[in-house]
Amino acid sequence: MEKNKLTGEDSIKIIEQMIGRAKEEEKDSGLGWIVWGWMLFLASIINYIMIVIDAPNKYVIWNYFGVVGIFFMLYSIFKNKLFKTKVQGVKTYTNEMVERMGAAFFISLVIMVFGNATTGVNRTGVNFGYLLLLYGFWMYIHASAFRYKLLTAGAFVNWAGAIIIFVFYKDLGKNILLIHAACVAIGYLIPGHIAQQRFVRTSKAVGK
Amino acid sequence: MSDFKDLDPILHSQLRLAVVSLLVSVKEAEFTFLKEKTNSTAGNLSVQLQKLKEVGYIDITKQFKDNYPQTLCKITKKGIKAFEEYVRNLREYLDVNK
Repeated sequence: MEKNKLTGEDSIKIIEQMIGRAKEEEKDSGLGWIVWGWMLFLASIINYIMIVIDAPNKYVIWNYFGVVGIFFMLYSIFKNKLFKTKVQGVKTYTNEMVERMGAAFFISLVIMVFGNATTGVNRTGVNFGYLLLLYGFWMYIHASAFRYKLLTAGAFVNWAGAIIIFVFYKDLGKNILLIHAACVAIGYLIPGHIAQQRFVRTSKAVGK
Repeated sequence: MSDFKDLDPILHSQLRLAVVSLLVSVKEAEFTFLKEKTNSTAGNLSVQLQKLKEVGYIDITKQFKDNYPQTLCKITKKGIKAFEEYVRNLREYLDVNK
């Protein structure tokens, strides 16, 4: 940029242009959705198969998952304190808000899983309805932050799944796991993979 | 056309205004990010960042990232106030000259 005399219109144009360029940085790689989504999806399917084949320790997969959940929770809370913050070009307020949302999500998730176990809710299958409620909440806020409509649709699918489980849990039985898997696929995996494709395309286009 | 008497001379410069407009929108930004977004040269950008720092509009932190030096810039409260004042005066100026 050359230094020359600025008119009022020039100033407005610069301000608008720069704020617009800063907003371009508010994008989601989708990686978190993909990793978390596949983990949840596979855990649900494995649990379903173990019930169908009447395997011993049918629900053991969720114990492993609980450990992973605690790891994610601790990582999301302490990552900035334990590891030196590495700013990749820029850190926006949206990115920071989404990071904190992630930490809040995992804290709530761990407490919910603990509560479901201590109250015995997990023996009814209704716990998956509560989980879908929580996923939907996270998706909806995340979608609003990044203006990502597909994730908003995913949130509504998860809420719908939660309602179905709450109403029909007695009849659904093990099929609750399939509903959980389907909601995860629609809510996390499809938007996650599409977001990642877009992110890779955009990053290549700007040479990052 | 009237003069820009009320406009902050520190902000009333293309590159400095561009930098502050970017920093108002984000929490913090690397030197390389600012250079890329403002299409400026490293030398000119360094000089202008130093001027903004001297008047207390931005904070500059130098650290190492993966063994490479990293310069992080962040707008201060004083910088935000100055930017808001600049925009307010600019609006008044544009209204007067309509």
